[in-house]
Amino acid sequence: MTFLKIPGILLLLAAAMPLGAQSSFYPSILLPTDLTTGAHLVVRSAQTIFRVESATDATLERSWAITILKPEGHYAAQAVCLEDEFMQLKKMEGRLYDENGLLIRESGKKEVKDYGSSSDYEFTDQRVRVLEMESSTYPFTVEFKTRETIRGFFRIPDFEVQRLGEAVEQSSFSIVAPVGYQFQWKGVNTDIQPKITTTGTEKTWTWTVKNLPAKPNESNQPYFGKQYAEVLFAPEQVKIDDYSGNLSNWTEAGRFFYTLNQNRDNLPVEAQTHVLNLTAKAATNREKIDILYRYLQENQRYVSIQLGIGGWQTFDAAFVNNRKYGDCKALSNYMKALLKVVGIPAYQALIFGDSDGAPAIYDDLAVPRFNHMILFVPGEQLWLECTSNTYPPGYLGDFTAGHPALLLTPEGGKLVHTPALDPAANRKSTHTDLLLDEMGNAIVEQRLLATGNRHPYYRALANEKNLTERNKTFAESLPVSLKKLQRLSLMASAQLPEARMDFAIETAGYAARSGKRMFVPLTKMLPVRRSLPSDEHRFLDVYIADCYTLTDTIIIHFPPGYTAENVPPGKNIESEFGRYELQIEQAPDQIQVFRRIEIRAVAVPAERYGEVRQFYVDIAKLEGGQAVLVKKE
Amino acid sequence: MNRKSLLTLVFILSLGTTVFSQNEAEKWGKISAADLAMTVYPEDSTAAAVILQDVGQVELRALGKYLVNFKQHRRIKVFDVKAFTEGNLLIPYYSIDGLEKIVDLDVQLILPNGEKQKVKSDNVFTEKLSKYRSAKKVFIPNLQKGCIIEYRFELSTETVQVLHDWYFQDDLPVRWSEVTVHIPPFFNYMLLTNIPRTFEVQETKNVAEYTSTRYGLGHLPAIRKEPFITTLDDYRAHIGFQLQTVNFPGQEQQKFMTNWGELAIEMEKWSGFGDQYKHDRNFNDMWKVLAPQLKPGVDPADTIAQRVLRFVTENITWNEEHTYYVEGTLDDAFNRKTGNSAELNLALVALLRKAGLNAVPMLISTRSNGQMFDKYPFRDQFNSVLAYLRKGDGGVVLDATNPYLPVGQAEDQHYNQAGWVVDSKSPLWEKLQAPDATEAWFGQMQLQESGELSGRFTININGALAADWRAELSHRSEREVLKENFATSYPEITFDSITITSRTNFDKPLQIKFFCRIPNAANVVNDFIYCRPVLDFFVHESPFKSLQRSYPVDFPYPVKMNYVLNLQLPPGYDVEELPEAARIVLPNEGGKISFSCAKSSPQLVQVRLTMNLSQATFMPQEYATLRKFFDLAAEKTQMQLVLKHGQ
Repeated sequence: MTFLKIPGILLLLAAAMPLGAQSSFYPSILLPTDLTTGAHLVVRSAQTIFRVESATDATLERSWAITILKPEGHYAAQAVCLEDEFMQLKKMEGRLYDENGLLIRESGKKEVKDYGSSSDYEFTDQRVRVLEMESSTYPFTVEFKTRETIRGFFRIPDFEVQRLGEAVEQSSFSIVAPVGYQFQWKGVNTDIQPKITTTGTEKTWTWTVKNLPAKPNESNQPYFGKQYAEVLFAPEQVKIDDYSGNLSNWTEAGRFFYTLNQNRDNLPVEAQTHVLNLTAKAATNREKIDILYRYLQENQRYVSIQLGIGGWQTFDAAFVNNRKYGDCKALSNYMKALLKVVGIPAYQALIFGDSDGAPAIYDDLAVPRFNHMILFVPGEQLWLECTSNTYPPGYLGDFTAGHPALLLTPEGGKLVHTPALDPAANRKSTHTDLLLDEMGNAIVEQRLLATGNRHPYYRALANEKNLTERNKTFAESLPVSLKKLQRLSLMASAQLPEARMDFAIETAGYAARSGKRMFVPLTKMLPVRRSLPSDEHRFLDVYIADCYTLTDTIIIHFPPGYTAENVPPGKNIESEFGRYELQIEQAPDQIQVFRRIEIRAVAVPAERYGEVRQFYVDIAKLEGGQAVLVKKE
Repeated sequence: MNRKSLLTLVFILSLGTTVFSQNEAEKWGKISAADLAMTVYPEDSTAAAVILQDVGQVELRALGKYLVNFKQHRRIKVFDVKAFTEGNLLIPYYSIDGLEKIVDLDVQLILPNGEKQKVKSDNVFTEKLSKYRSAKKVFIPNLQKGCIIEYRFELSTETVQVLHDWYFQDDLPVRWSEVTVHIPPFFNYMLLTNIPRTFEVQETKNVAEYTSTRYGLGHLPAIRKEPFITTLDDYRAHIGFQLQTVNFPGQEQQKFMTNWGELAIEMEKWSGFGDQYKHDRNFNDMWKVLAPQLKPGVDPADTIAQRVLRFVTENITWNEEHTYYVEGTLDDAFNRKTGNSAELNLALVALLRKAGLNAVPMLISTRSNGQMFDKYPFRDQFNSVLAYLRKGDGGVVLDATNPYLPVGQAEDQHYNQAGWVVDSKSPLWEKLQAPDATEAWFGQMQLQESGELSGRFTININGALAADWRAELSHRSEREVLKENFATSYPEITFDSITITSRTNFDKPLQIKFFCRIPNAANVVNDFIYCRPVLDFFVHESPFKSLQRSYPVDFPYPVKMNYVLNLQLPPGYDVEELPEAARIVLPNEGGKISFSCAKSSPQLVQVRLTMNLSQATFMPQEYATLRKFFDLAAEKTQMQLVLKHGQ
């Protein structure tokens, strides 16, 4: 039996089966255990047909049946389609079957829900259409069929071969196109090959997979963007509205997006004059950039309005100049226009923004998996995040650092990477004096300097809407109960990615007491909590992007009359994944704790998961350290 | 004080000083020089923006049909980039069936130099948010520091029973807020207020037969969300209006909810409510499936109630919507396998009644929907419904929105003081109190010389906590769930012989028994062992971080926590020091913590920690005490034993 027959039979069954008929559809009880093991759902049968009608028009037809085994798989009980100017939903139907495969119900005509998809700071013409097939008892099977028409496209949907936690019994993806239609493709975590057939003027490529057992969905994994195994496509000739291009390689893809956004960086004469006046005294290009970036931050705000092609094409700089708002594209383009006035060339860069990482970008396949735009100044090798009102010039933050980016230059696209996070640049250094009283309460005075990715939290705190809010947020962040806030000051550098905090507080409780003894946690004010679950059969590679260095000096002043009975020894841990250093010095009435922790980024194969975890467990053990004080008789 | 003298007063003051107490609204576009020049708000000098004035008008017109116009005119001064988000306006309204319409919307920006810029329509968008609601979205262009945003809109509706609520307080400080209610003489509205002090302005005038009342409050601080509240709207100063009667001249008085009895009769007749559980045709499909599982007359009532509850939770999933009426029929929800809170819980009422039990609905306002008023016989104050099974003089609630609840317990959201029993024979308000959430830990452990702790624990869990544990245990292995529970404090813990009793029998306490081993649980230094005997407790850290609180704390359920550990000491070690016993009782027995640690035999130490919290609501003046209470509980979990090796 070929893959094509199964959906055919399904369609017949579905058509011939009235509500409540006793025919069985994918009974769950017959599922083989090698498919149910470790799976929260099993894709029983999925078929996608992407039919290219012309360079601009296409239809996307999908049908899929999924047996949901557990609540973790419940997300698949709904079908979601997006609609906008370019994509229209023509059909959306659902059916629900019980565990014996008996039809429980079919969706009604009015059941498809319609939601707006924009947040408070956005307006888009995109609608979210949702159809839900709910059941409260597991397992159950859902079946969905959708048809969408597409007018103007530059991406062919990915073939989501397999997601983590899902087993696949059978799934296929077909591209049907006029003979001569060109596209490129690439399999990721799969080596399936298409079956190619030609009938008359039509050519069909079909990729099929069968009986894939579930892969576990583990923590700290490489960035898959939900899709573990996938086939990606890049059409050669694309056309959307009046813009055509070709995505056969990154140079051409970049040219397409460059053209789409070209000649939108001209400011009105008065604005140009203003820019020249602002920068008249600046001696260097870097000074000019800093002045203009600050000007952008103080005058613009992030508002995203996406209508039609506006999802990929920026507002004109003159428009942004007038409105004083824009989205990432509009603000990047506006910044580019400001720089253009003073003769500094800059390139817009497409990028994927997410603190957890970004989907892989392959040199040999131009699939624009991007969701954000930033600006690059080649002369200074400087990256500018144009949607932040507070970042210093050149600071990107976790959202885009170390991600692949596509520079849009007049010569076409250039695939590059933004600079990766460096533990030496992401620092937090503190000096703390902790004055204990006999009740175990403490006065804590701390000075803190944070840089790089450790600093945005303090920058945000410094920029809270008012003092009351700031003090509340500060109190909430404290690992101890606050009795009195004596002093709190915050300062974020305008020029550098760094912030300072200085505070003095009285705490309600710090050390626990038992009779004449007092138990003083050494690093409670600056807790470091890192842990990984104990996956015994780790399957996925281990990936942790966050990295930083913490340097802390804590001086614990004893209450009068107390001496140290026991103080834990200092200790060092050396690992490929970081370093931990703890030194403790004793004096008659105080101890001085010096702690230095370096946490490095991790990218290692699955079999080394245990080592990474052990490093964090070792740190956790040392972090619980306490000094025992005893009252002198 | 009459209007004229007020105006005069304002005039004089605004000439004489830049700081004045405003209790009169300014007209559209009339901005004082002082406000234009203002660079900080004197009462909150660090605020990035302030609502200078917020003026509402509710106007009821009887022109053949009734028409209610709600007008709002707001003015915000923006001092800093931090508050530029104020330039994005979001005005939601109920658009379903044209229920509300925004008929007019003007937005203008006043630059620091006084220049006014009208916001053009290409900055204004209408978005359909869901089936029920839409919103106007306005993105104000050219916003700069020192600008004043001014906007007004008019919302029109034919709903007269309840007028648009007015909130005086917001997440920005408010300098002046007022609302004027303008109604024809035949209409009689009841006022519902929640304000921190008396109105600064409350004046009634009669204008061409209409009664016009103006309520004003000034100088309100910004309000921010804190933990343990119902909804922030309950705590924001506000006012609402509910229609009581209409007396047209020469006609009989039209009553709009004069009493609860009449509301009960109306609810029972309504197709979206009483009709559903009173007529078999609405739940025949369900009953046909359920009936064979029941033996009325043979099974005790409790068993029937449990079966009915399980039947509904197993067959209909809650769609996360709270509402108090059925959209189609109960059978529609049953066949669709999903339904709103009314569909689930009225299905319970219908089936319980059909099985011969005395069940009625109970209307509720969820915690996030806010408070109810027993002087306010009006259905729209409710947003959800429970099943109420009468038993003797009282009764118990049933709630199918959470599938892990026993008979007699509702989901936390439904515990909002009281509920109204819909029964035309005896409509009444019943106080609703959630069953105690309890966790009783009993452990017997052995401490090794190496610092390892090992032994058995039995935990008995009830109430909301049992439902939480059961939900967790329903789809994950007990080992995973336990491991996660201890992961932060004891990453090296291992478990063995885990047994769970009453995992699916929700009417019994959930019992978890396990054996565990924790390497390095205690700190061994030289001859000493320091051991923290409270391995896990309800409170690790006080949830009340803010130093002050301007509105009450409201807990959804009472809490009873109990932890007992018998700890066997390692051979050769003796107790050097025991933590002191402690006890704290809140005023009026609102809560209690007690801790003790004692040697019960030469090698055995018993540790006890209990925490009861029975008082649900704590006023702002009790906040400091409540903080101390939680601080103490957190502190006691950190207590340590000191053991010393005998020579």
